[in-house]
Amino acid sequence: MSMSPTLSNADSLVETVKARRTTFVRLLWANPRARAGLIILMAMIVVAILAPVLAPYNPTSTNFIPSQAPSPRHLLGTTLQGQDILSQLIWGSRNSLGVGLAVGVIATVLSLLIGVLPSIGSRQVNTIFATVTNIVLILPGLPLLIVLSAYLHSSGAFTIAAVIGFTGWAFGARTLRSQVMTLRQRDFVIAARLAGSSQLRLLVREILPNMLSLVMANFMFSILFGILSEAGLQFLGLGNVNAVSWGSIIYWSENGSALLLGMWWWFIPPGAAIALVGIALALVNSGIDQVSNPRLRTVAKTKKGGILR
Amino acid sequence: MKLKTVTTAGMAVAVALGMTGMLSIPSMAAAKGPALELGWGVYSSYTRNFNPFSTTQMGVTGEMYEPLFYFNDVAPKVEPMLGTSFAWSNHNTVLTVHLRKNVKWSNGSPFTSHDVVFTFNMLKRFPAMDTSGIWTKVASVKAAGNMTVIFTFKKADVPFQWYVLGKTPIVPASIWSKLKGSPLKFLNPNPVISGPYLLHTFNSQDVTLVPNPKYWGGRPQVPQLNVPLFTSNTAQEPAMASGKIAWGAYFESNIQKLYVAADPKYNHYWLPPAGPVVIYPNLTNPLLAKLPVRQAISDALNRPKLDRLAESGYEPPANPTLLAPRNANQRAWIDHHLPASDLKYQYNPKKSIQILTKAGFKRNKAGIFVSAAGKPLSFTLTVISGLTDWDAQASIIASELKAVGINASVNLVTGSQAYSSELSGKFQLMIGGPGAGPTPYTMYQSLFGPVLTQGNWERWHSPVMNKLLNAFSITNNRAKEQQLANKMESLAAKNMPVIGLTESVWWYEWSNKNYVGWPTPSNPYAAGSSYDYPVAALILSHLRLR
Amino acid sequence: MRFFLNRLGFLLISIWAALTVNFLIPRMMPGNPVDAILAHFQSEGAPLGPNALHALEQQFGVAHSSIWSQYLGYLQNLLHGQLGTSITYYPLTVTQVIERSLPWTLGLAGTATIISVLLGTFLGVYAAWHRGTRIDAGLTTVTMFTSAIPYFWIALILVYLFGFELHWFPQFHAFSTLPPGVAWWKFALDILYHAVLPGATIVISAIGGWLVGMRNNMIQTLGEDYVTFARARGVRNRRLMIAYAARNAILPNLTGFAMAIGFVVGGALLTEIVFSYPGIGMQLLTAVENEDYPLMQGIFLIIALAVLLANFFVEMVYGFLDPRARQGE
Repeated sequence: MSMSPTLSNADSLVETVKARRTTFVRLLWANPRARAGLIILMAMIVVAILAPVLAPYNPTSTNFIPSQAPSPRHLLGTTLQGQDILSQLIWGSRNSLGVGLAVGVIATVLSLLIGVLPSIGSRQVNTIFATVTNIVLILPGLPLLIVLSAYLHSSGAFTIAAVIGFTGWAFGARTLRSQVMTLRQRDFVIAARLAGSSQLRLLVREILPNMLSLVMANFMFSILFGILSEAGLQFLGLGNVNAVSWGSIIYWSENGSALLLGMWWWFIPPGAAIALVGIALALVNSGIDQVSNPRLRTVAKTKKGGILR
Repeated sequence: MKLKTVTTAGMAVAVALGMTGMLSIPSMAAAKGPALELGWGVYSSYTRNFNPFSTTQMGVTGEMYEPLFYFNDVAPKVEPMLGTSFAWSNHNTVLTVHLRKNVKWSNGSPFTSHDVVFTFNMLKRFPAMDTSGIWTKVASVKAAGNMTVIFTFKKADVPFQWYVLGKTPIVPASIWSKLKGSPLKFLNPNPVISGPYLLHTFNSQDVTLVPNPKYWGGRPQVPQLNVPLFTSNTAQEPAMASGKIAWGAYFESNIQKLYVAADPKYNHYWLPPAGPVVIYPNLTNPLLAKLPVRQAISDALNRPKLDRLAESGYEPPANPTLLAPRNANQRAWIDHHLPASDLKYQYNPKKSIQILTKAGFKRNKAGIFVSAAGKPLSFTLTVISGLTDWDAQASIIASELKAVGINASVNLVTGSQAYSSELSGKFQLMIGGPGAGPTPYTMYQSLFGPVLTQGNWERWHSPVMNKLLNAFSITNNRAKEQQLANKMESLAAKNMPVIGLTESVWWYEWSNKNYVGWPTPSNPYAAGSSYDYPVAALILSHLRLR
Repeated sequence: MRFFLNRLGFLLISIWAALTVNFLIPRMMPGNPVDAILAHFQSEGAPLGPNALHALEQQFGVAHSSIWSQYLGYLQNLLHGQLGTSITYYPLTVTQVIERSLPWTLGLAGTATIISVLLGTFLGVYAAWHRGTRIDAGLTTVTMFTSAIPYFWIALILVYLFGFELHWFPQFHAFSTLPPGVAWWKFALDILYHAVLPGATIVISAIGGWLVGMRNNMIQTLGEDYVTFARARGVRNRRLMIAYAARNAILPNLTGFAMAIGFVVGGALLTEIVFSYPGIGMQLLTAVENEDYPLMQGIFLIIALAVLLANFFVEMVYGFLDPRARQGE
């Protein structure tokens, strides 16, 4: 991938970004890992969108014989409360993926705003935002979430997403920020600055396009963070346990001692679904890693695996 | 001797374990038979706190400290414990209690009226300990000789005897009088007791108890009780399923499969009803204040379904009188001449719709009934999150109400949020479980009585009910009490100030593989749940080697 | 020196911010501890007596003073090292509760984190060296998967399989009750035995990040001119890998390591809950459930301080090792 200074002479900003995006996406699609991941993700999103069509029954209906093993009528059996698990799983994907995506968007936007934007400001502005980022970064995430979630028992999925997003942006912000700092020292940026580009123009035209893969990686990571956090909160019974999501299915199966009673069909599928999304995101992420310039220090790669700790 | 209460590290535990050998342990020579494994609570870790007045105590003070009497929760009977008999006099304002002779504290000193008077006066000196509010009712507690205590009440209140006689643990004056500061700060790490079991070893995950050789009821037969820590249901369930626990008090969603199946010959459970699970409708809400609305809600509920799906069939439908016919003690109070509709809730969604239509409600476009003034029947249904059976009930209730044109959105809150809403009245519908007592008075007084903070969360002000309650409180005549109870039952069933859902039960699982003598439906000498103070002492003194 | 003062300033500001957040959050929670206690007894079917509300409010001194004076009082108490009295464990102090749970967390999560870091780093170097081969693909794929799976779910499956079904390992707790007077090493072994499953859960979930991070850093370093130059000069492979590449590739991981060590104190919260491990994470959940403000604040404070200090320390070391860092932010 070239990063020649000549690019700064491209016709318009939009085209630059667009061109880069096209190349990037094409490269990504050509990468087998990323492609596998993207296909899984898209399939799951389709399932979530088509939930009303795909789900055989109403997920909250308690009208079936409880605790049934999988059968042609109930492909994944029923819960102790007589709900159809397949329908719950399909509807649950809306909540789980929805929260994940929302967290991804919130966290990424925040990390761009707080991690990247201040770089055009004065030194003091920069220091202040860096300090804020570092402080939020070290506030213990899950404990904070648990404390905040006392409000969340009845709230909708998006409140939960907002809370997770607002506690989870700092890592991305720091990563992006250090990338900006590195890029600002690069020759082509210095060249553009010497040529009289304004700070904002510099950021948007020179720096951001070169960070696309990192932003993408961050976005994917935030989605995974969101899904795992939501599942963890639900598992602790701190979310809205009556809303259907993969995490709440695990919560109820755990409360109904599903494993001990041999009801694996209640406990395994929701965890497996989360794992599948996680794996898909990881595949895309590693595809991004492979596609983007290995000489770029993508700090995002050093993120730690376990999130809910 | 200083014994480390808390385990700061592995080393500290080792030290604590080593040091337990130095505790004065009674001779185990007479011990036969295996230890009994108990499981009856979820704690995040054990604290060496054996103060029976502390809300944070270890749950085993029921084996150690006894009240004067046990008012059986599941049969109409009063068991003498440290007292032998009691009598009311002077227009039911003076309660005279005769104490058991030849009772010794575990340190060898004799139990006398002095201990009883001291215990009650300690509650007076430290009102923060007086959770029952003894001193809001009692004017004085005096000894009359060594074996008699006289309680003088400010005014007649016979049912309150339950708290005085049945719910106040008596502690040895010789130890507790020496404390400095509030006794609530006393951890009582080496308890001196009157009950059947002494502390043997302690660590943050495990407590063991051994028989008190000086116990007045004779030396208990089980040579050792093990009380392992379970920090969550998740942790306790495998222990139940592998049949380790010989006496449990756990909420389980499938006891048959999880516990009984582990050893079908010996493992049993018995879940006698405690009180009801109810919906508190906030009667300050103009819509919920209308009886037809409450009736419509009630008729829309399929209670057998609530029981089957949310309570695994363990908590059958409540009774409109809110008393449970399955409980021998409560059954004795139910007026069986009440009309059938007051003795059994019906499930009739069609009737719900009729009632609402007749009361002038009309359905709007969304199918929700709207009052003549244009107010929709749309409520929040508040329930404590984490009480999974109630949470499940709430979501079933919401869908059933929806079917008859009433909108209920489930509002999951923490326990303290629920309680503060109950106190402040900021809720519309709330699921809760009022406790029962030895007579219907206790529950009705708390549910319908004039003191809101004692449990009248629905805020029902019924002068008739208050009069009946008052009349009940000043009589000591069973026939008269029955008459009054009958009237209260009818009033509760007809006015539906709260809407009964299912029973709540005393959770109790046991194995009679090694020991027999457990309370059973045919021998209901106690509710089996150890958390029902003070049944633990009573049951343990009944157990015999098989 | 300027660098040091700069970092110290940041440390102090962060501590103040953490303290303030710590103070505010529990107070934003609805309800109060007394209500929580009453609700708890009520939902058990054994409600406290009719006067309980009044009595408990007296016992726990439910605060009715202004938030500002509460804040000042809180800071003042902290200066004197007082974290207050726990409500869940009344009359134990918060310090006592933390004292007895922190060692378990440090032992379990600390050891597991160090194992993950060492193993992950080692495997990362190994994968980088064999980059493009099946070993590399296998290692990265497998660990990528394990770190994407919700680890409490894995933990529950492990408990069920190896604890409940096979009886290979204990299902819960940090130690078992051994007869008095048992040798200390037996007790130590018992603790280790109990730590296997929860420790494995943490390692499984955390190792992937370290492996991939190290691998990528390595590959990048291996592409640097000085490594190429050394190779051209004929430096042996093993030496090249360790002395040249790995040594430099590990630097960026140090910050991550500092964070991880700091977060160890926060406990492997969900792991502790699944395994009933008596650590700080479980106490935090208990505190939240019981609205035990003092305990919640105490634990939160300890966690935040641990992260801050670990970070500060690593930055100092980093600044010492890499002069360029001193010029940075």
